[in-house]
Amino acid sequence: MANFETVMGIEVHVELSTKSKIFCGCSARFGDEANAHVCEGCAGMPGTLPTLNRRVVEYAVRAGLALNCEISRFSRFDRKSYFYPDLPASYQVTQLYHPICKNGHLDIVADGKTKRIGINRIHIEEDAGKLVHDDWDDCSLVDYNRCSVPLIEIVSEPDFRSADEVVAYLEKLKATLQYLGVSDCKMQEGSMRADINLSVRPVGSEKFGVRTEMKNMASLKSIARAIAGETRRHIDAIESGETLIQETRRWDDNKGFSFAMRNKENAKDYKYFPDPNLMPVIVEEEYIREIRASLPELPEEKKARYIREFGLPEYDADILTGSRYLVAVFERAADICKNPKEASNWVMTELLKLLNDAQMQPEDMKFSPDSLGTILNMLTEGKINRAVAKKTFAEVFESDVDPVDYVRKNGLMQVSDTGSIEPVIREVLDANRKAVSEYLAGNEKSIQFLIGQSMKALRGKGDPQVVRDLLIKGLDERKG
Amino acid sequence: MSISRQNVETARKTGQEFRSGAVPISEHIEKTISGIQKEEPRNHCFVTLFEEQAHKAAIRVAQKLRSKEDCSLLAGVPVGVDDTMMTRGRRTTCGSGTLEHFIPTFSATAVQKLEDAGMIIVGKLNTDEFSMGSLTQTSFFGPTSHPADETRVAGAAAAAVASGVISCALASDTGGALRQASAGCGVCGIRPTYGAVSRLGLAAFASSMDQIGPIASDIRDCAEILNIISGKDPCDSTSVEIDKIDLSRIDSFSLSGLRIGIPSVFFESDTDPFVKASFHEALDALRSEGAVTETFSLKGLDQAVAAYAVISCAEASANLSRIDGIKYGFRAPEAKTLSEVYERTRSVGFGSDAQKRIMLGNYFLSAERYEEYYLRALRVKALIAKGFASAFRRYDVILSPVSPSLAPKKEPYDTLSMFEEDFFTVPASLAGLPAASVPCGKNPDGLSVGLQMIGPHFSEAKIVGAADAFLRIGGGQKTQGGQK
Repeated sequence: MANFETVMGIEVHVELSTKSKIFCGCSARFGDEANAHVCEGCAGMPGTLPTLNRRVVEYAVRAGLALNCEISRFSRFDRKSYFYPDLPASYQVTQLYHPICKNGHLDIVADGKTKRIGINRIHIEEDAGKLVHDDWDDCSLVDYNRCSVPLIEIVSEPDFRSADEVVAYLEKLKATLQYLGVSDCKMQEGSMRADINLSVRPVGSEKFGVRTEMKNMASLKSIARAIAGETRRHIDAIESGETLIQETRRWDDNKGFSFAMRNKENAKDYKYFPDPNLMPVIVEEEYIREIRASLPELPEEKKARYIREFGLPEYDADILTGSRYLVAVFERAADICKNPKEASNWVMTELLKLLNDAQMQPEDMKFSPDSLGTILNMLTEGKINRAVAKKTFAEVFESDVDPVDYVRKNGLMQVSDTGSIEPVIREVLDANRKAVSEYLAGNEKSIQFLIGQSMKALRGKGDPQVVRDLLIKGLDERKG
Repeated sequence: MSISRQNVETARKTGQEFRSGAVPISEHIEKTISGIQKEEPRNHCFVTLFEEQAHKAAIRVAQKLRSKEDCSLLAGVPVGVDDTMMTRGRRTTCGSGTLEHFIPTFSATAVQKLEDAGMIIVGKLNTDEFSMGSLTQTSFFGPTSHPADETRVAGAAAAAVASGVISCALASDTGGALRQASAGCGVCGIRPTYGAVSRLGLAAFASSMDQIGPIASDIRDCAEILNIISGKDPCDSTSVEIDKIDLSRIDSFSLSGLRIGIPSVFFESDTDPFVKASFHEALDALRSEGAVTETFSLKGLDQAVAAYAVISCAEASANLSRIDGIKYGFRAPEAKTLSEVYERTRSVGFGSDAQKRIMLGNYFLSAERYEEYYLRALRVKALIAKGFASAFRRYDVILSPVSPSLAPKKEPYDTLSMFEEDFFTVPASLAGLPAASVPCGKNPDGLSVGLQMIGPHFSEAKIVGAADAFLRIGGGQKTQGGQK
């Protein structure tokens, strides 16, 4: 295995988050009832014509600029013909000959090293619908909601040598596109899909090996597994003298193996030609300038600023800026509580833990952006203690409650006046004579147990410092 | 049988009679429909009649006229529409067995504009399957008969107008169907500049050349209809705004000094002697009015038919691939698997000519042939467009016959020889130029020939002016039997 190197290029399809589809006025929303968003145009009725959604061009140019591409002043749409029931016109409108963006790059960090990945091109195209197989009636039904949802396809150079690099690239790409607001990049919902072109060659060889294309990976983890599995298959074939053929394969994550797609798929001639129904897209310099000026701060710049301005550790800054959704929670919280470090700590520990426990991605968070800052302010002002703050945040995360309301309704305000705490302390000391005598005998750890009992009696709301001080005072009194 | 021209009222005159109240719209519509029904067994011009809808529309339009609502000059006038144009809620077959029972959910922009103007669509006219042909020979519903000779074919829109059952119609023109149909039946037709009329709702044959235009017995009616249907449509990215034709200025159009160019290959072609003679007489007539004619060479014209065949088949192959038996239309009932659905549906559903063109188109676009055929055809197209552009710096209009032969017999045809019939008409299609066909002669058997007038982009007004002047001097009225 050490004698071989894997060479990979990636084609990433990203659904753009425009309100409407690329060539008609239908909603591009995901997850609605089947065929809720279909008109004559996206159903391929005779006599229909496409009209280009300008927002699609804008989003593609935004992505191109963020990925350091040249923006083509002239680009054009082509038809790619093939028959399949999810493609109503029996051709997909795409950009083969004149893509909107070319020659870009994206810098990634993998195995502790920074590497520049070349981007060959970005082109605009339309998505196809979806077949739904109804086993009960033994038939296939088609849902055209996704037909003509705009996509960009980002084609990398064959610059990848390891699965780590691929994963780092996809994570960076996802973060960047999310920052730009051009896509939500949800792999599980198919709004970001990656096809891997992979070949294997002896280390030191300049010549590329036979390349296979792998499709159908639904997560970064399955992509990493697919790369490992396919690399193994290539090496096995090379070592046992088998001939590899250039083909498209479907990764089966359960079986841990890729399977050749039917030969027909591979023998396809798509009969590309320019779509006569659409005018070429002419982009003016001024337009590019305007979009460039409107680009948001991107992950790298943001990370550097967090380290510089807020003094965050590099690791934390890296994780935070890895998702615009984490950034949104962090920046809002830091802004409200005026304590970026504290806000960062909460995101890094509490929020990531909550996400992990719930098996959720940052983009799936639903709570109000102000909530964390509000909780942190209550904490700083002594209105709640840390335990209550965590509990409240978990509640906010779970069901987007208003934190102030939640604390009030559940009577969780911190109790710190000695008048209310003293009687409780007395009761606790009276009821736990064993611990008291242990403490008095010099076992100072017993005070933790007594603090716990006191907090329990105060239903968690006691100010821990006040409770501790009063306990020590009470114990001292009992020293006799 | 043939109805003499004098009996055919112009659409504008009919419209005037409605506005003045001299003739009730409903009565006229009823007469029109019964007229069509009477002629139909012989003519076979219509695929579907909209009897009930037309009556309802007549009542609605009459109401509008009474309440002095803003209506066009043609409000209430019955019109026929080529069956390649979508009519909402009313059957639209595209002349194909694949769409024999297809009812669209929207109307073509041109159709909608006619109806908004108060014109009444009485029915859908027979058409070649997805417009692949000119004289209805490839229609699933059988060919339309020529008004003068039942054994010959004709374009349905032109035949219906020529036989007098309607005064005007909308037709589509890709390689010349509208012009050849008009010429064959001795009526007028205009293929507008590409983009002047929205293609939305026109079933696509070759999208880069398809255009909708008017056919009428009177060139001014054509202009009036063109004014109604033309203009930028936000739903057709290739459509453009064009100036309306000012009909009040047509009377003053003078042929004197009109610079006419004739590409020399048009004289060298294998053309029917009667067509040739009529064309020369037309030129003589124009010269006698002071027009100046000159022959010139236009590069690429000898390859125009080939380029047209490649481009139109290529585009058609993609345009027609949506007819797959999945979503609407005919599906082969015996098909079991997905590939059988595609193969059986398309090989049973499409007629043989459509299938040939689809096969050719796929061949021209295949990865190995793309450059050799498709890209070469595009270069010829560009060359011809350039040649026209420079010619129009010297000439106001370019003239030619419309079709090299007289209306053909109802006989088996072959696809390749059908392409040859397009020799005179495809150059304007390739260059996206406006071109009119006006009658310029009729042989003793009543078979007509047309004169084609091609102008620069957006010169519809000039073409109409020249055509009208030519008709005024009697260019299209004479029967040239004795002179042969």
